[in-house]
Amino acid sequence: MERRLKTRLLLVTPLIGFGILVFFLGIGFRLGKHNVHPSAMLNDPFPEFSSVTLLDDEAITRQDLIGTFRLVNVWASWCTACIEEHNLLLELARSGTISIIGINYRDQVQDAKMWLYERGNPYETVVVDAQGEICVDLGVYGAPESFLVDAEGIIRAKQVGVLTRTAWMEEFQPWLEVKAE
Amino acid sequence: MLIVLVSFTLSMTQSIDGFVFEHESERKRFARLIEEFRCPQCVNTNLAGSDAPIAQDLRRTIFSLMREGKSDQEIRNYLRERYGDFILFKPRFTPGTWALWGTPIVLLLIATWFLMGIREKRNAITLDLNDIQRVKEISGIH
Repeated sequence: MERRLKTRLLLVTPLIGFGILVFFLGIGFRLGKHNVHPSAMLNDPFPEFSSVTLLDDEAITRQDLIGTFRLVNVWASWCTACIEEHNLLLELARSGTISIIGINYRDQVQDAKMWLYERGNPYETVVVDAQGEICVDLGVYGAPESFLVDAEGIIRAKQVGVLTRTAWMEEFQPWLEVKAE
Repeated sequence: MLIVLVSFTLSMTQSIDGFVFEHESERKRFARLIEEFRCPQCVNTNLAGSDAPIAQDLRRTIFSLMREGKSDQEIRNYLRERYGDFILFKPRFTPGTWALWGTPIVLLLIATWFLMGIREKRNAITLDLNDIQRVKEISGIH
């Protein structure tokens, strides 16, 4: 009797194992995309940098970003996904919602200027990062990527990939409302 | 021809990806470090095996950090602070990862305990057979 019970238990073991596997895979699928890139750099100070601006070729450092909320947007003329978020950026800039600073990532100056000329320029100023050094310091995965930087220069929100309207409303906009209060 | 080949292989040992090294040990250290980190853009490739722009940037970053005299651990920390645990192929031991590190050990203990149980039972059976043998011998029945 005890032996039969044991054989049965042995037969059920693979099933139990499979059940456990399905359980954990289920959790994995439910986590969704949010956990793909952990939020490193959040609540950290924006890194020091010193470079030149794209349009005027003037010196620019971290100090020039401090003082107000900024949306720092990593983009490039070769970046096709950047086109998807461009309308939202233009809208935010034209409505005066926030000052947008571009970081031109691994790009040719002429191509970048042409891109802005053709599609419109949402940026208050654009920082040239031809070697990708600023972006490595920022922990950027690739273009596009967006950071919300507060008046003290602390990174408050981050979006890896295209800045969607939903992401803006949920992760970025609330910080501006806190400021207004 | 031979000279060309030899000089080619020589130059191969001294540079990776355009980086020129002063010592063989420096090259080996660089090669080991770029094997160690995950390319952030391509998920399951390390920095050594990726052509993504970000991987090129990170290789250059590692090279310049090495030149600044940073230790391996300082380089690891530098990258982890910016890219998170995601960039490390070998996860650290933190409250969030104890299950990851602990499960194999626990499974090993359970398996050992299980095997010990089987062996004990086997021993018990052999003893039984010996007993029967002895009974047979004593009783003279074959």
